[in-house]
Amino acid sequence: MYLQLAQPRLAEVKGIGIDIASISKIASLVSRYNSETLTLLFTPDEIEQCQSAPHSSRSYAVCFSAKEAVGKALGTGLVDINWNEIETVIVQSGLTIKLRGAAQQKALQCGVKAWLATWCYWDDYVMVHVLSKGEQA
Amino acid sequence: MVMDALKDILLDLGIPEQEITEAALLRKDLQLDSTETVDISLGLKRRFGVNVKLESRKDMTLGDVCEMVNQAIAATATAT
Repeated sequence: MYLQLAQPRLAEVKGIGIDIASISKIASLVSRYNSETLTLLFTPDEIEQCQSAPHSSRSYAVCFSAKEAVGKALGTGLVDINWNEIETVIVQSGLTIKLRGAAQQKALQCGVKAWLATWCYWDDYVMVHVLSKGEQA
Repeated sequence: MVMDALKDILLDLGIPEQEITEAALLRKDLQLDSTETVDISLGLKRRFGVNVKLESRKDMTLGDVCEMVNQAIAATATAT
């Protein structure tokens, strides 16, 4: 006699990534380069978002940290991915992750269909936590 | 020329001058974190107008970075 147990349908987690960044270090970096040079690192939409945010440096740090965290969740870091191929939209305590180019290709190869991302800050630091899923949220 | 620029950038990052040699490894010897590595990329883009990606599986020496920049400059000159 076989007993078949019902399996709960769990969203398939493909990867997780966590990163911590220093707000003052990112602020120093951003202050020394113009917007054109910064596009190597941030997308134009990220730059616009961060410049108009009430805590600009913190927002830049969140975007930077999110790129690192996504790279870790994809399992490769940012070795074959350009920084500006990972875009972050900051919404309250959550984040929306948008990928393009090599980052998008890598996510497709890994079967990633959706991202969950959160962030927090304390003192001079921000922490971003991302989780990649094999199913749409 | 590129090594001089690299040295200026690293000094600005607070790396002691005596540690800045062509054989020095970015991660193992200079202990650079990702923010500092990006800072170098941005500094090189501003000075030479080229994009060099310093995130790699293998730790790179400053000599390797100079070579990458020189190759990128040559490729840009050929393309124009």
